Amino acid sequence: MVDRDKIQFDLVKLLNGERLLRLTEPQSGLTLEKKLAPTDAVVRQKEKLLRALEAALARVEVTAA
Amino acid sequence: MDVADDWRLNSVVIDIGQFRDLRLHGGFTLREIELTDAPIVDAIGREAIAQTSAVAGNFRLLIRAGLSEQELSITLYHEILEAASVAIAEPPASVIDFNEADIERAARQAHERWGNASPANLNLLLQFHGFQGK
Repeated sequence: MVDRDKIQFDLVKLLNGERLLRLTEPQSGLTLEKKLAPTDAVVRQKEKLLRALEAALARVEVTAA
Repeated sequence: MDVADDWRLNSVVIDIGQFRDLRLHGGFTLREIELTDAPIVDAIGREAIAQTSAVAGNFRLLIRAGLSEQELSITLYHEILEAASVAIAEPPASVIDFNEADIERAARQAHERWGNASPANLNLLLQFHGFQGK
C-alpha cells in the first residue's frame, strides 16, 4: 500500500484545455500520468491511477529484491 | 434578497499574497501561489495555464499571468476544489462523482455567488462541498 502522504499529486491545465493528473512517488522517482477524461469522475480516475502506481511500485520492489 | 448575498465576501481586486499559508477546510494548507509571466512548459514541451501540486495536504499553485480578474478567480476556485477532491483520502459525497465539467460549474457558481476568490470564499467553497475541519 502506498503511503498517500508521500505521494505528490499534480493537476495540470494545458493551454488546449486538457487536464492532466500526475502522481509521483518521490523515493523511487516513479511517476504516472493520465489525461483526465472530461466526462468521468475525477476521484475515480485518481483512485485508478493510484492503484496503477501501487502495482508499479510493487513490481519495482520485486525486481530490486 | 438572495440568501447568497448574505455570504458575499467580495474583494474588488485579487491580491495573490493573501492566499499564502492559508489554512483550508479539509486539513489543507495553501503554501505557495505564484503568477508567472514565463511559460509553464513541461519536459515534453506541453504548455500549461495552471499547475497545482499537493503533497501531504500542502498545496502549491502556479498560474500563468495575464488572466482576467474573473478567469483568475474561477481558476482559483477550480484548482482548490479539484486539488482537495484528489488529495483527500475520503472525499465528501458531494464531490465524489464530480467530473471536470462539474468542478468547472462549481467554480463558476462560486464566483457568481460569492464574488472574487478570497481566503474566506475558498473556504466557503470547500465547506459548501462538504470539506470539514481546518
